[in-house]
Amino acid sequence: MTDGLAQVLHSPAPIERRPLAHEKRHPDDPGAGELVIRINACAACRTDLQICEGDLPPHRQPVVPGPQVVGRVEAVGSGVDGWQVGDRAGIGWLAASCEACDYCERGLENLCPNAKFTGWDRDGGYSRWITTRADFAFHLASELDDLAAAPLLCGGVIGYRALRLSAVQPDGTLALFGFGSSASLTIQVAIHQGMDVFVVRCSKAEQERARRLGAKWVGGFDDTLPAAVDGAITFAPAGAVEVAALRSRALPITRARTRASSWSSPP
Amino acid sequence: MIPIKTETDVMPLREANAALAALKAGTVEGTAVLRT
Repeated sequence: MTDGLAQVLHSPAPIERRPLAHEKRHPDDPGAGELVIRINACAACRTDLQICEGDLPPHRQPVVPGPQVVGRVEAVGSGVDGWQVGDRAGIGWLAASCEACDYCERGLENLCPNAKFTGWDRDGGYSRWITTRADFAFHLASELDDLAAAPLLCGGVIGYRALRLSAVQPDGTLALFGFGSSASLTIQVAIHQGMDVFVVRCSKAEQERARRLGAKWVGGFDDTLPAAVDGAITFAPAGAVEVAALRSRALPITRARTRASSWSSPP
Repeated sequence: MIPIKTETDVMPLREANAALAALKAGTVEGTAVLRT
């Protein structure tokens, strides 16, 4: 394996000051249970921005951000089953968990207090190479090319999880507060399942994109939803979108059993 | 199988700072993806 370039964060700073440095990195040999992957694409998400700017302090420095990675297996460590050199692989935000706590035993590894995260605790995908635990890598369907598949590995996962937690049924109505990358994927799943989707977002460009993707109604935070909804998802753990969602006129008119879910933010 | 269509704004790896700046500015259409 040859050297490759990576975008490395040594110290957080406003992104306008370009905190990522372009550096040469040599790939590690895979340890037991690990894969080394030659990266073809890595999607950028708001969590990367938060780490680079220090809103989420990096768990180690330097660190390579990037939790939405697609590539090909280049080397397989000892004890790995189900992976071969050349296989197509995807890597997401969750990089490891303790496998011993109550959450892990219940299949809720994302809540493990000792979980490790790609691009925060371990180097991520802003690089030519990545080393990852094989049991936290995904085999990917061939229908999507690498560039199209990468956004599914964080934005797609958290959106799908939030949709599932919302418990909206296929004939129900769902409200989405915010409309970035994750919401633009979630709306497609919701509509495919038969839901009507309302989108609440201030940005005109994002409102237009929501309409194009099939939203039944699109408005801003000061607008009143046209009908009661069965569930709502806010695409932010905190900040303006969350506050606006809670203040909006939408929630008081939701149906009695409405659930609100939020995408999973780091612990 | 759900026919998901992702909208991507593809940039070279060395433009990672610019990609995140665009994300911050809200000028990315869909998802910024770095090609390595």
